[in-house]
Amino acid sequence: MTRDALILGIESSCDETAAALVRSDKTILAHKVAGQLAAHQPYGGVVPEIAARAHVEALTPLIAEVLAEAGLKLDDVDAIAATAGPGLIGGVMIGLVTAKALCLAAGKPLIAVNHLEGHALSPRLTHDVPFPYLLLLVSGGHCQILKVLGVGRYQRLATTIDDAAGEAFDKVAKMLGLGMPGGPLVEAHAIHGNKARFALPRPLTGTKEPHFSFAGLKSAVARLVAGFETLSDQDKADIAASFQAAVVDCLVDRTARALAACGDVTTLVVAGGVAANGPVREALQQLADRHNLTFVAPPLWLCGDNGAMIAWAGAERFGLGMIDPMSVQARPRWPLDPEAESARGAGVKA
Amino acid sequence: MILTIDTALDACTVALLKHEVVAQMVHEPMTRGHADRLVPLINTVLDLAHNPHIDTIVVSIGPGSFTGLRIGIAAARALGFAWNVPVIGVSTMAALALAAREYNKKPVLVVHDAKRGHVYVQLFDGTDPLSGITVETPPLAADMVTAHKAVVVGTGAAHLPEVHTLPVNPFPMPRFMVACAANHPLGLEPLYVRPPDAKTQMPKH
Repeated sequence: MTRDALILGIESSCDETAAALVRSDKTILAHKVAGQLAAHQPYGGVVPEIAARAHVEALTPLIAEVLAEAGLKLDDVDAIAATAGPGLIGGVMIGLVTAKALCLAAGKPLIAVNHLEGHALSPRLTHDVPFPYLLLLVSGGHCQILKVLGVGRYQRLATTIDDAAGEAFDKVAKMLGLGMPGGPLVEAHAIHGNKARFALPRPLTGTKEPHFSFAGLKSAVARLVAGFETLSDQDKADIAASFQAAVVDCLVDRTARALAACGDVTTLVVAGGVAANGPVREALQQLADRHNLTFVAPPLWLCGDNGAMIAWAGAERFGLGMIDPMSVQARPRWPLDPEAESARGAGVKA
Repeated sequence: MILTIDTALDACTVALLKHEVVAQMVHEPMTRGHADRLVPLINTVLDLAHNPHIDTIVVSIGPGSFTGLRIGIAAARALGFAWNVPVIGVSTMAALALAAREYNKKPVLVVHDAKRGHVYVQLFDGTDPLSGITVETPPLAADMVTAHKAVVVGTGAAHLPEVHTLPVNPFPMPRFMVACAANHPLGLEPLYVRPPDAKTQMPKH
């Protein structure tokens, strides 16, 4: 029997600098995330240049901390995996060049990981999920339904034709003056809200088209908010709850449609930052129950961007002999299913 | 041996030096793509020198292209950590002032292209800075040249057509980077000089 491989994972594609050590037997030896919330907060969103400035400062010390916490040296690592895209290119380049330099110095193979594959395979790090499975990938930058056939093999069944679900959460948080991070704050306010108070649209639900759309919902919330002279805490909670319920309905409707279309899966998986949302998880659990499917959602800490999912995707690829040359490039856009037809309105985004 | 890395301006330069003598060096002019070329170029010089023991890394920390200087610093930090060797930052202005010193004893205005119609400038007397690094318009930089009877070096010299320039390579050359590391060692905090553009964006696939 061969020894389990030890992979160092590096993530820097948005506003989290992260590193982790994961073994191919699914042991997470150490993981750390350095968030940049305070740096971006004054701007009400992620500023690429500020993110890049923070990544270059934080990354190498974070890698040193992760190795120290596990009581290991760089020499003990078998391969180094880094996010090579998609994402904010300035940050991606820092993680990738750092990984390349470490690989060169320590004589280790490099694995260039698609950030979306990191999310897509993350349920297999914590659960025993066989291929193929149906994946709802929902975050601030992405909203897709994919049939995961294997490592590096994806069939995209649906994507958003405008905004990502997480983006809609963030924008609504901004409209309500809740601050950052938008998603968790909308969820927290919605707990005390009446989701039946406001009738909000559920774009594309019930249609034959497989995709998502959240722009109309976002605009409806903007119009609703504009109709108030002042928003009481209860108004905010009711709007948050009504909005969240609409998003949940959209996600469930579209996922149910994809399940009917894709046939032979036994497991439904949700991943990405929005997978941390409680009502989203509950609704998908109920959907899976109705279809006699196993439902898997990663633990909350593994839903947002992190290094462990990159290390794990690296471990999966390393196990199949998939390593990359030092000349591999950072890619701002990198679809999991390059064969997928472009969706109406999505243009280059999908 | 000392490894030098410069990706701050429109070139990617990697070299190995023994004291201030260059043993191996690669220099590729490029306006973009530093991130793709840097580590393969480091690999090349290490190969050429049969993988020598590196005891110090010197990296240019700006001013220059924000992306470029971060790439160099990120790689230098990672190598320094992996090899457990010190990493010294040097200014792209001071390295040029040092190069100019070999040709000329007058005050030197180092002028690097800052894009968007501006230049980074710093005035030196010999190797001693007489001013901080600032961002100026070319006419203002030209006025500084006149006022101090200075000569000009750097990637921004072409923006000041009427001034006296020296035949000095406008990129920080490894020998001068090493000399700078001895005379004016800096940390690894990038010399951005300019504040960040504060436009928000979410990543797209």
